[in-house]
Amino acid sequence: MIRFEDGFSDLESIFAQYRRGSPEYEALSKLSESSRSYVYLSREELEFELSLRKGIIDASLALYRRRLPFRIFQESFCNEAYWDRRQDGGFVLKSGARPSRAVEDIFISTRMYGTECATAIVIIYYKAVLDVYMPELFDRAFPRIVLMNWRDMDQLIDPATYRGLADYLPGDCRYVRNPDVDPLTPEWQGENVIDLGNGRYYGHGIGLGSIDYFIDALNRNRREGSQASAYLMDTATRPDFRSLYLYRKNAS
Amino acid sequence: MTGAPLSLLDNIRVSNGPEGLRSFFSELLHTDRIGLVELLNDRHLCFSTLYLLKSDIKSRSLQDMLSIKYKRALELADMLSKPGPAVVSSVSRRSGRRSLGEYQKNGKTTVVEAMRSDAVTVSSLSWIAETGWDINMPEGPYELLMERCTALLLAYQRERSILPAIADTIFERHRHGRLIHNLVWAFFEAHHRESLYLIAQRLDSPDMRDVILARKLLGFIPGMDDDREDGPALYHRALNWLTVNMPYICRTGESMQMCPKPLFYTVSYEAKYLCRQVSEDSGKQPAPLNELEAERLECFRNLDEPRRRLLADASCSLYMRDMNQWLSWFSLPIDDQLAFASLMTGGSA
Repeated sequence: MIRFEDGFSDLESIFAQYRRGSPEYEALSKLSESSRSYVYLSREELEFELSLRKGIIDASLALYRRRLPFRIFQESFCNEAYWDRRQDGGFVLKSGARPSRAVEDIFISTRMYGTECATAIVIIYYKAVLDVYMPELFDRAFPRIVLMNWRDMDQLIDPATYRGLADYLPGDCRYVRNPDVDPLTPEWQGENVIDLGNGRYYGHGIGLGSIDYFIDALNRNRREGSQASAYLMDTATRPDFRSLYLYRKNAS
Repeated sequence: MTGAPLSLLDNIRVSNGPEGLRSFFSELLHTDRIGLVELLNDRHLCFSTLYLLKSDIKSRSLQDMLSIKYKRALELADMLSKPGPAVVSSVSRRSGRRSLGEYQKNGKTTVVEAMRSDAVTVSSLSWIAETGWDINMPEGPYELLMERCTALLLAYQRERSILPAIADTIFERHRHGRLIHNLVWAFFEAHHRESLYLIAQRLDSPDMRDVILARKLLGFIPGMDDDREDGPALYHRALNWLTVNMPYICRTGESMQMCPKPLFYTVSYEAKYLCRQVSEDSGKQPAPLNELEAERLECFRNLDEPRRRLLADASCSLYMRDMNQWLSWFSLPIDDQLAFASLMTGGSA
């Protein structure tokens, strides 16, 4: 169920904004039908989270359509007009480059970039926030950006991992683990996937499909004789929706 | 890697760089070929030095004059080095990932087969992994080769003898801002929970970067994110926790690729309650339970999480203090166990 701290209770009016079958509608349904209680400060906070979840899904689909190449960190590459490639394979926003323009460039000059699946998730998060914040606020919020992995993500986005959740929602980042991966190809040890809703997922380097599609792809890259299948872990990683909401609210 | 004396060729590489090393090689080749071969076969030689001289050794047909271990190391370097993305299966074509097929073509099967049947291959790989990680070596293909050799030893072979050297490497690379994800993954793929002590040692390091990484890798130990405690106190707390919980912890499968704050291990409260060692991989009991244990475990599973934790901690504490008292306590009905546990901790169940 959903509860609002400011006393708002007209959930139907929020449902009415979204098309049945859309990711927002699916997320809203799961939250409202859950046995768990989800507490929001206000209607605006819930709507912000739904927008950001939709932004995560849209950014995932955009990366898929534009075919961002997969490269392991040692072989990653980027458009050096906007980013400096770091020794460890991460990308650092170039001095003087506008953050919003640099993030947008990944979705325009996509073939000039190649990276691992964890970095793709970082890119997706920044793009989703950019689309919800709009460029001016985004540039103020994220003057320094590092695209690498979870560790280097901005404190404002501050993604956290939740284990054994009652509900998994569209826009969540899930993980399909390959316990018996071939040690020579550790890039197949697992896949970060974005829940697109309706049982579909996006994972950078593998593509778009059901969880079984990702499991099959990972299983094809196990060590010889392995009997242990890849599997979807009982976890979800989410950005700090509340901090991001409050930052925008206080900025406006 | 640490503590061993450096060979002359290693010293030249460290002092004069790769070009200086190759010049020395070239000079000695013409003046003292036998002496050069002796230097190449120095038992203290590091793989990184041999690797830098690989093409010179080959072009001068010196590889057959190397010891079998060093010669095999050069063969392995060729087999396991493959720059650039593969284009094999439909998935890898789309993604640029390497597929199994490519490695089979490039000798992976041969390496794995050799590891199973040939001690020299394992010995060569161990030598590579123990002496080849060097912060001054170029990244890219060399780093990939080192990752593969280390992963083969730890994930396939479970070669635990190299874990101390790999722990050193992980922390050194972290201090230099180098990539450690795959190395950390390989370290945990050794499936050796006792190796966590190698990480815990760094909690008392004078270098804060070591402490930060150790805290992160041991994030499953309560209090590791509390900045108020550090130095010997932090180290000893982690040490005590590991000593008490070691038989009951199991791998979660989480990794640095998966999430920002992975919890690599978790405590099996069921195992801790039963005071029975748990399988590190499956989290299950390796031996069947007796009737009393099965009965108590069923009741235990029906409790909420705080009470399960309370009982598990009390059970373990009692077991370590007085086995006879633990046996009497364990035979009590679960409500009585809870009441006793609550008294032990000074609270209410």
